[in-house]
Amino acid sequence: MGRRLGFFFWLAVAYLAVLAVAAVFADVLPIKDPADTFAGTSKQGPSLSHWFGNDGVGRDVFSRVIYGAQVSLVISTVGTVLALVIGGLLGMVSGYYSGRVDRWLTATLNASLVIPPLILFLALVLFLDSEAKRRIFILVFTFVLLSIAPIARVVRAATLSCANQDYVLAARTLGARDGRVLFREVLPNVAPSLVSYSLIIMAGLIVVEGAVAFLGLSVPPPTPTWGDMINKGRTNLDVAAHISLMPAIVMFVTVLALNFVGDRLQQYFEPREAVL
Amino acid sequence: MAGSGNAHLRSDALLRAQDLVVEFPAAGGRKVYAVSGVSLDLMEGETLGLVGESGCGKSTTGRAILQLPSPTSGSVQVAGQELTELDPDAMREVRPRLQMIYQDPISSLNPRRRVRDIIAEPLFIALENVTRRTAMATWQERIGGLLQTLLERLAIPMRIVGLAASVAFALWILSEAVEERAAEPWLGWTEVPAAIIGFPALAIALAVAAVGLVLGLTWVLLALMLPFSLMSRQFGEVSAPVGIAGVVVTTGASGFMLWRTWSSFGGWAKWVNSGGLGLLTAVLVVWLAASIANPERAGASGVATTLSAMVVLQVFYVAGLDAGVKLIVLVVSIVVDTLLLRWVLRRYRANRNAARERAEPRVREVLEYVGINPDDAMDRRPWEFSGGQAQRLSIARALVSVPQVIICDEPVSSLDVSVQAQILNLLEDLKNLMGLTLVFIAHDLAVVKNVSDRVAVMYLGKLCEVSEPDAMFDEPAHPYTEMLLAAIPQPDPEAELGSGRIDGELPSPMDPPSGCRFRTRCPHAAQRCADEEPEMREIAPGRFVACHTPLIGETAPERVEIASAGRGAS
Ligand SMILES: Nc1ncnc2c1ncn2[C@@H]1O[C@H](COP(=O)(O)OP(=O)(O)OP(=O)(O)O)[C@@H](O)[C@H]1O
Ligand code: SF4
Ligand SMILES: [Mg+2]
Repeated sequence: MGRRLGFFFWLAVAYLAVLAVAAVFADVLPIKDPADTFAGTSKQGPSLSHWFGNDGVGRDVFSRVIYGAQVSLVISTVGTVLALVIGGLLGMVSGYYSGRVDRWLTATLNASLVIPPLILFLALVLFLDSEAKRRIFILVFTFVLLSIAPIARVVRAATLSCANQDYVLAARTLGARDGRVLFREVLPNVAPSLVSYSLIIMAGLIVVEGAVAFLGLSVPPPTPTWGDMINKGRTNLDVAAHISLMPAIVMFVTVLALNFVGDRLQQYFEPREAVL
Repeated sequence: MAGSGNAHLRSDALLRAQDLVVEFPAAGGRKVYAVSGVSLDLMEGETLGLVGESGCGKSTTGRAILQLPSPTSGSVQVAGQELTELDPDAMREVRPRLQMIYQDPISSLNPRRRVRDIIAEPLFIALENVTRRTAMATWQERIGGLLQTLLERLAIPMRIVGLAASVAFALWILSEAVEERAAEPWLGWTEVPAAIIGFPALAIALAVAAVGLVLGLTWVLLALMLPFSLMSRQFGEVSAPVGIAGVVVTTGASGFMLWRTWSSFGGWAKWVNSGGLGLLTAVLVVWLAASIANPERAGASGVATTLSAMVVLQVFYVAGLDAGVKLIVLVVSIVVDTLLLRWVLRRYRANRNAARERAEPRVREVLEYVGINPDDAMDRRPWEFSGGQAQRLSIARALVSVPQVIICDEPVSSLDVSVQAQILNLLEDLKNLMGLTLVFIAHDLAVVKNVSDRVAVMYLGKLCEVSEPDAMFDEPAHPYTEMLLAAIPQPDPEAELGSGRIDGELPSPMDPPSGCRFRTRCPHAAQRCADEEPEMREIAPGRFVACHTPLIGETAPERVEIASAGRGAS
């Protein structure tokens, strides 16, 4: 087999894995308390004892970035997985059953694409957010709502091209039920694009969290989030740029890694079809 | 051409398609009249050639016979059984007897599956359908009559409603318990054992509720989209509105319960040692185990969905715990998940392997029939084969279910000329060996002539002529048949350039000509041809033609026009 994923793919995967493990086990890793305002000198730049420096009130930026990853990863993973299941199902159903079902689903999904994400989010916060600690659910809920339509569209397109193939007709000729056709014949052919596109969606959600944090509507303090850290560091950009810069770099690299992995996977699975 | 009528049908045919009409909706409310009143029949062991220009409706006719899609009107009978009136389940049981071989062998084999699975698929499908039927039959014996029909028809809605309702109830009890305990302080380490035992159960409970909710919502969505007539088929005796309302209510209830759970987030850790959990755990574990034990029926995908939903919920759960407890619960949950997943996968693999093993001898046998070495081929994927080999695989798949009739839709058109003969010989051999009855759709008249016992010529959704191939090729009776024959490239170097051309364009099937559909291109067209549609009639023994002035017999016109345009030139 001539196709390979390449060194950078594995590098990106390793980075994401390290980040995930660090976030999950943050409590037991030998890192500073992210809430400790006496961890070091305020606005101190990166040093050996504080790798990413200290923020405006003296907290350790590195450990805050690690803890911030918890929020980013939970939001993006959960949001993507739910959207993947729901959007994937809707997309497959819509692409497989042409006609009425397809028209209604497509119309609904397209309509949902028209809703401005920020407005939707604000509305949900306003109506549902009686306690700030529930913000994370509303974030995830909004993200799921936002990601369903794009995922469903991609899956629908992939399903359409596969549902017209003779092997689907052949399965039906043999008396297979729709569920069997969908899961045995269609899903294996749709899964690669589904998975690689989901990774790209996941990267998008991490960025959206950052944008929401700028409005002060992300997970409320004291829980650190990347977006919130970038936002708070703004006031000190001239004297201590690292307070914003460090989480921004980590966010950037994470998003890049996710996109890269998604892209490579897509390419990895594509050539096989091209051979046909 | 383009005539209707059933004069050519015989009485004791194995397959008989009568007055098939297939219309497709087109843009602007118009219709594509793809097939308009075609009648065909096949005696057992016979091969019927079906020829005609591209777009004349050959494939559509073949698929209409297989009920994919079923014809707009008309009847299809196989050994006396009427297919157009069968319900979907009964049709599924008939399907193995009617198989199809496709023009493009590569696209008719799923590129992501291995040959052993592709060839065995017909067996698995048949098994699934039979299991389902016998399960239903057992029920019928036990309960009988009305109750059984009700159960059968209500199976899907009831499953959802039952699941959602029981979960909702359990969650309700739990939330009451939480309310009572809300004031008590978090006990910390003493609750760790309780958390470890109780939390997977809770996660499963919530996952099931979530799945129920998604299913319910999908159901409601579908209900809004499908016409009521279709819904009422699902709901059976209960009227569609009542059924839908029931599903809506329970979906709402389980949604509400889920929401209450979410909103009590933070209190979850305290829930886990509430009393009702033991029972709930038992129920859910049994449910999960039952579905794992029989993935073929319960669906491995359902189990997988539940598991992944569970993992998602665990993430939330763990995130809400105190730092000290977090690590322990985390490690335990990872271990539990891994074990569960491994169990599911093992069961799934074991089942799959057992099924594969049972199917293997048959698969090998059939592969050998079609001239493929099973040892080389079993574990490869379709795109690793040449076109000719892939077509053999496709034939093997059609043979596994021991069909009576195979519809070959241009099975050699996309193959290299050198391979075509091999595949045709293979079909011929298999036909003799297994007593198959074939419909052979093709462009290439030479091929059709060799393989067919009878040939039917189609033009724009209608039949022109049905005859024995030799008679037809010697002396075409229909002007269109003559035109087709004249279009066969002649191996004659002195033939005029362009003499082998069919004049004129095929009219649009959305707006077919009146009377005889061929009249716009027929050299013999007269006024009568526009006013009156020719009926299929026997003009000589075994020769059926739908034309007002056939080329043989007493009414035959001078054969000059076509002769000078086509073959006469040589
Ligand atoms: N699903 C469909 N929706 C709309 N029109 C269709 C559909 N399937 C076939 N048609 C139309 O029906 C007519 C007959 O098509 P069909 O595929 O049966 O032709 P054919 O004789 O098999 O041609 P070919 O030799 O090229 O395979 C064509 O005009 C085609 O455009
Ligand atoms: S002679 Fe008339 S009826 Fe016969 S094929 Fe020509 S147009 Fe049709
Ligand atoms: Mg065709």
